[in-house]
Amino acid sequence: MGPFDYIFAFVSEAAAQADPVVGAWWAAPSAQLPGAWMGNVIPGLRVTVNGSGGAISTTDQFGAVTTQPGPDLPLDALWRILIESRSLDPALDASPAREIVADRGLALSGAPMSNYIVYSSVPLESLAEMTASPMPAGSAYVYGAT
Amino acid sequence: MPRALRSLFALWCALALTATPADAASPGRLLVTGGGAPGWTLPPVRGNGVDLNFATGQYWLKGATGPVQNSRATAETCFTSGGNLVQAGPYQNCVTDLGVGAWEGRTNSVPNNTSASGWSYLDIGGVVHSTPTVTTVNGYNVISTSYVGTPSASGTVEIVYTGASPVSVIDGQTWTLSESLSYSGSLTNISSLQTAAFWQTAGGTYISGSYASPSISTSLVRYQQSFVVSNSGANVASALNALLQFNFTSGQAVNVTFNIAVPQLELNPNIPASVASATTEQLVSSALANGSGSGYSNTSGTMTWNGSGCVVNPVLAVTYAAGVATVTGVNNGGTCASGNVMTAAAWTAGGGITGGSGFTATVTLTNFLGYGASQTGTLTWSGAGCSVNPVLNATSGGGGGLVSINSVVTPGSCTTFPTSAAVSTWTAGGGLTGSGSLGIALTPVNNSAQAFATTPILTTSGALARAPDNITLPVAACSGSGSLYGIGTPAAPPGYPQNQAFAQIDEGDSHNRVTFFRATSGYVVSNSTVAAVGVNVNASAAPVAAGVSGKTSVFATASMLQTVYNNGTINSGAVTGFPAGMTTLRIGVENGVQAPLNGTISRVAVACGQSLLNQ
Repeated sequence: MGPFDYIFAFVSEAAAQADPVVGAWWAAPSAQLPGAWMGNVIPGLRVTVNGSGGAISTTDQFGAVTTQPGPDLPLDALWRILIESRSLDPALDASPAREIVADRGLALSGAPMSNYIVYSSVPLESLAEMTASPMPAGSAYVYGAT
Repeated sequence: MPRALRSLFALWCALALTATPADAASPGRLLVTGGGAPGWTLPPVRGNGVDLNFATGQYWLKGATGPVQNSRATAETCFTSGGNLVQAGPYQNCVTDLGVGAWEGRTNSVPNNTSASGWSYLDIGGVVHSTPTVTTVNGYNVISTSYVGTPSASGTVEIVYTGASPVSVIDGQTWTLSESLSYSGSLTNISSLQTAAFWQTAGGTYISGSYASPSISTSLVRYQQSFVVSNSGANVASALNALLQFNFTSGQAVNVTFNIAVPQLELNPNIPASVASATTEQLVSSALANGSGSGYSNTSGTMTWNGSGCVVNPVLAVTYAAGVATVTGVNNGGTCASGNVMTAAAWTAGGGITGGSGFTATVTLTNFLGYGASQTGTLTWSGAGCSVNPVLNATSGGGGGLVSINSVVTPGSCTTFPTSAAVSTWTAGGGLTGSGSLGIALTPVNNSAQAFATTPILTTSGALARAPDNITLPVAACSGSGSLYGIGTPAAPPGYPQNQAFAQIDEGDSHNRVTFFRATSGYVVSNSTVAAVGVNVNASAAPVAAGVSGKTSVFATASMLQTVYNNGTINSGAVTGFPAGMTTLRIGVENGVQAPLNGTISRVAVACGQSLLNQ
């Protein structure tokens, strides 16, 4: 169905820029323009562990206290990027940095995670305990269930 | 499809789209007859050309050799002149009577802005908020919450859009909060109504916030406010909350309903991070010593941050070629493995980096320029050479009264930092010392004044990102001369530090091209070829304010270029080769970089062999 959302992980953004596959989405700085990630990508994608932020007591400027969840904690220190592709891409599939491939169209149709996750370097059970953010506007990935 | 058939098809489409009695008598002539954009008119396109009038839905495509495409893979919304919100799917242009949306990539971090699921409420004095209701108005969901009763205590009431999911933030980021608001009932006994965003530590300690007091009415109006997240002393910013807050007074009855629509929290991705609490100590002690003494490019050496303190962590980014030796010797351990870029969190004052054999590093120092008090200090580079050009990222950006400081990014420019006469000249292998006894004056940029909200990104269960618009149309090549013409309304403040591409015509890549874009100085036309880069001519002599519709046109031949903004003075410059071979019209792309105008583009035209100046 598609389109497909690829998630790649690197030790740093610089490593992603230098990657022979993912680096194709990076426009290096020139004399006139700063460098920039190009096209349908989400650089710096955050992957967090659901519920890891605990509960915190928040105080506003007047001293009113409420209890709320803390921001979930990062899964690890890796730097991630999401790249959208209209179809499965052999070059992207061959990248050792590939972590997840998801079929956005299938997810939009209401298919379960076990169907719309085309590839995952971690078990789906573990994937269901994580959240990747942000996701592409117009997508409808559901977390927390396989 | 054969090219001849494509041309016929394009012509048929154009006639079908534009046919009116007047048009039938004079095919190709377009007259703007309505819509939200000014009533600019164009003469007939006599030769090959295209005229895309997004505002009126009239398209002359005689010179087109294919369809209009947008590579944006995500959904997008855009407002009509009447305030209705229109949604476009992936790869679709978002077109209204104002024009086509041309926005940079953004993320809405409010996890749910289409219902109140995940929102939290702080009530006071026994007046409990009603169960929120959702109605669809003008194409988007409006969430209404009522308060009826007499509070038994005074205090603050809050509706927190990010209640269940505070947004992760760090010091120096520039954010914009926007939302549509109205009320029904009465504002009697409601005081201190504010749209607010405040940030806190990971432990929940309040640090600071941004508070605005809109004069809301019974009609939905969209508001926005921008702010820079900051640390405060030992309190490190970690989470951001967005909310509406107001006060009740004990014993004073209230009966009001607040209507909130599509609240949005956006990080401004193209505004460099700043340090709100930067101190003189940080800058004065910002000396980067290269132990080997051989300059920026070393086969071995030790780089040591000589800062005696680290009140605000500097960002020392160390990048090096793949496959080169590891970076070792950093005394904070763990996070500076080979390939990592050092970040503020990873750096410890007094630490060092020791390169192995063949170590080559490019050092980027940032965060010297903050939003806060003016900074003074002395910055000294102790390297002996400049064989690899450094990037000293202390950009001054826009705003008034700033000392101009440029990044050093091009070979041979090691002597051009800084460019301001107010400070001494940078010399390779030497030092950079500011004038006067205090050294360099770095006047901070007000990043929040450069920030702005974009069109709403609709969310239901988590943050969503909208990719940048990238609109292209293949066109038949002009030969000899031609015009590029556009009308648009930008949304960013004039000081926005990123160029905002309006339109470009090129040969299918980023080489031979004519581009016009909005910059801090106004609209600029740039002509470049493979051999010669960047002949820039100002179309407008002054910055162009946000929300102001204007038209820019450029006429070029093989030997000259003329450009004009809003029928003003025609400015000229040299040009080399336009428009022969130009076959692609792009909207929202400059030199291959997707940095759209940020706003609506109501009309774009290419006319071969004729001038559209002052049309």
